[in-house]
Amino acid sequence: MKRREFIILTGVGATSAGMLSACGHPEEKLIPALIPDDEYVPGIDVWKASTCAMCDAGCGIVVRTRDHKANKIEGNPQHPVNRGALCARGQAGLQVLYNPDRIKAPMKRVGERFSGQFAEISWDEAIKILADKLRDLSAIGKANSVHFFTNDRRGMTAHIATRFMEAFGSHAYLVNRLFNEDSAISGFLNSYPFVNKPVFDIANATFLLSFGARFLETWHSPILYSRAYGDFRRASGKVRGKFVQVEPRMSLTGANADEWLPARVGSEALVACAIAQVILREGLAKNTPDANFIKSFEAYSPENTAALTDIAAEKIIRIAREFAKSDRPLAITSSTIEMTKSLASLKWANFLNLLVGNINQKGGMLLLEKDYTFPLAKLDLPNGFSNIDYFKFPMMIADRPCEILMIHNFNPAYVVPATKKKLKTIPFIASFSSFMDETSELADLLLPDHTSLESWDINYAEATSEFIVNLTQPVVKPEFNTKQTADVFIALSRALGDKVAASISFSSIEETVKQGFTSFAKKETPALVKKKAAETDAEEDSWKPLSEKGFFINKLKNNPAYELESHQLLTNIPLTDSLLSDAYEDQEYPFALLVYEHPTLGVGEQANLPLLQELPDAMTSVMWGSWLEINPKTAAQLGIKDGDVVEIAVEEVAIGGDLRTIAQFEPIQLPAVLYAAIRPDVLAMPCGQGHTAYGRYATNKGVNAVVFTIGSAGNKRGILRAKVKRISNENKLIRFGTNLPEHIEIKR
Amino acid sequence: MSETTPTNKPQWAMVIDLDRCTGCEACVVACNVENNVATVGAEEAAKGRTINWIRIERYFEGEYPDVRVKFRPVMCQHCEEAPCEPVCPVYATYHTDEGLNAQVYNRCVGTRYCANNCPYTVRSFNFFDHVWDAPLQKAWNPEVSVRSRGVMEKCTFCVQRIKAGEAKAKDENRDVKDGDVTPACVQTCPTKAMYFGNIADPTSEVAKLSKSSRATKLLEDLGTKPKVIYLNEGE
Repeated sequence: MKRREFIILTGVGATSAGMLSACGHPEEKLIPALIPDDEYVPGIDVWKASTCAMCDAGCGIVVRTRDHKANKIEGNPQHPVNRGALCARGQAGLQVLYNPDRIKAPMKRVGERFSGQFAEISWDEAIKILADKLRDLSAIGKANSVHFFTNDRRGMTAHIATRFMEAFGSHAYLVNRLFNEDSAISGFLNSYPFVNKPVFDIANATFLLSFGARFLETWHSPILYSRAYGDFRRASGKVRGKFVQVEPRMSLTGANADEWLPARVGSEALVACAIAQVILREGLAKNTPDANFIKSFEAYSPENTAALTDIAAEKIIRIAREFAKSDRPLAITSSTIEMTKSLASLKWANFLNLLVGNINQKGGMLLLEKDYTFPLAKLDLPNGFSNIDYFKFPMMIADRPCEILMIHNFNPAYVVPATKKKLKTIPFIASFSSFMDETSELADLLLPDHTSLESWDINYAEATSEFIVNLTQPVVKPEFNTKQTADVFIALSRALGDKVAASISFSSIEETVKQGFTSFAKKETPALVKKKAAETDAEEDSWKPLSEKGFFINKLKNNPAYELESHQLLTNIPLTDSLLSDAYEDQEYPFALLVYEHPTLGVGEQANLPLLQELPDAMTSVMWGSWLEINPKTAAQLGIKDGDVVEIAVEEVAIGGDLRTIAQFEPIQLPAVLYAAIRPDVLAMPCGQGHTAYGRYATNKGVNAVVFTIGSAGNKRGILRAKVKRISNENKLIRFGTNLPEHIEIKR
Repeated sequence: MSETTPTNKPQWAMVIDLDRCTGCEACVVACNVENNVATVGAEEAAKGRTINWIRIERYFEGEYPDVRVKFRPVMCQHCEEAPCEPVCPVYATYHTDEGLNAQVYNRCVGTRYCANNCPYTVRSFNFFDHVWDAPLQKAWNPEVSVRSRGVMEKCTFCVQRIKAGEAKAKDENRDVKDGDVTPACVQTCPTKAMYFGNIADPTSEVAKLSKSSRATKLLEDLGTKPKVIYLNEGE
């Protein structure tokens, strides 16, 4: 029986039979009339627009909900970043909301400190505990020993927390991404005030030269650039673009390249220089620097640098010619700590873009005006934050008095496990995490935040030539007794009174977001507190279409003055010969250790989602664990077979300051994967696993590779040296299909 | 294998452009969420008991340093001459008049003959009843039944979406057209590498693309007549 017949037969539709025949979708019209709450329509899907929070790209999503349950996330077809598409991480978003290991209510510690024993309390009590602690400290003039850290980089939490903390007399800190791509413009370009983070028109390029930029996985805005890549390959009326990737270990992005250049670790900048040198000496450049520069640049010829980069001169010359002669060449680069000397790579890749003159051209590098201020600044919130890199966290809490640590979605006990010792000396720790992670285990008070699908927020999209302001709104009612951290701060400010209360004028995050978003969209300066009751109706009218759409756009201009200056820019390039130093060799630690961001588990934030744990890694098919990638020839020399357990030991590194104490690494054991596409002198392992807490799906899976990043980040040479040996042939790899050994010896 | 009788019903088919596909696996997760595909956990996964309706095959070609990698999403190919169909003793897998290779869960008795006979190894067997740690089951798609122990399952081309699309077209008194039906994998694909539609309609995108000089089918020489068409890389 069909729905329509059912409705008619049961008499529900009988009285409206005339109306039924008049409308196309009877059930859409009928049932809401019967049940006024338009949130609750039995058996009918309700779609809600919001913003994906699985990474920082800011893709628009629409969530299919039925009977108060969310059951599918799709890309928002209207959203300019993703146009209806969504990546593996985004698709798994529902498992954050419905994760069985969420902290289900506010809790206070009941057992010994760090025993991990908590008892549920009410929100009133939780806020009172924290407010009392804060008041007591303030009374004895120690307000500045309270610190707040968050890694909510795009939303309002940091704004509201900053406002609160400053009124209270201390600071809120915003922790940067571990694999931080934010320095996409550097060196000589950085000094130009009109330059903002560039956008790369990959779709229209005809030759793409990438220096370790994993733009299909983790770089800037993966879906935006994946969409562009599709068109780069096969848009109608366009020649098929050629794509060359320079990186020592082939990533998923590199796997899609037409040509892979496994340059020596840290020599990407040198490869860029060698290509530039060929372009200059063969007169293929559209913009040329002065003769003196060209003369001194001769040292960077492919012939001179081949020994350092390990790429044959003929190959460099061929690629340089193809690049410069292509209609619309484009060079991009990664700036993360996955890549050593990444700032130099940035500089010289951008130099290539200047040489071929693709700045603000179709298929080129688009530089946008700098007036790119966060819209929330207009909300009378503080404009700037104190940004810190995650590896500075241990120093920060060591350097200054810390009586109360408040920590939100940042997990130092996992990313820098050695910092646990210091964390344990802090008298009081309050965690706002939605999950019981390694840091929350040490906490005295748990104030679990909503997950993104239950929250209100405004943020902006990454890497677009239009300024896109995104709305995050609840798609379902909160699943557990959690509270959005912004609302906790509002409640705290009320409890503390005085100037702290005055610092936050609005009454809830929902009100702030609704009014703020509407006002921005209308390009008005919001006057939040002054709204009168009579105006509410008008506000409602403009709110509905905006909330259904989920975002709005402000156009940004390319800076027209730029082209005129590119020649001038070229004359100002500082040339340093530090790139030409000899490749580092070490007999005892013969390998460079690359630690990279896992394409779906990230740096461990997504390790608690079973969907992503059981998703075979695209390059190795490994699930539910870590692995070490090693070149098959190297492995053969060391007697290592695929799946063998190996031990890697990392050299001691000279890292300055307080980092020294924590940059000692224990040898770790994990299974080896023989990986055909990695340099013989390189070992690589993904981040993401090795949690000791963070729920049943994440705990005790694989090893924690993130710990090594602090070694590369704090180390002058930028890379860790390692040695590896075989431990056993006990195959612990879990791979797609089957893990059964190919040869089974039956003992008789 | 069904008798081929002339029909004016839509014939559903998929085209996958391997030049656009990056192997990102967004389709895999989208499929798992849409179709309530269970995750089995580390222990069972080690025994090869994961359930996959779609997978990304990966091929390394050449030796270091001249290595190239190719990706290929593989799901049930909905063969017109499906080797899995005639071996089912209980008619649990059969061919519909819309060209779908259907699987009827409550007929299936779990002989696994079909999986044995499938050259594409796209069928997954439920060796046990799956555990969904509460409240994960709240994310179940109410349009798709959850399979229990002893039942074979595989890609349906998102038959629930096909039915909804056909119902909509019928409501509007017209034939189905491109865009009416979009399976979960096609909808989420970041590079727009996948196309879905009625190949019997010569104006549809899949019908046009299937005539491309780049078009191939997987293990075509077996004579299975797959309904999934791959477009090779290159010009």
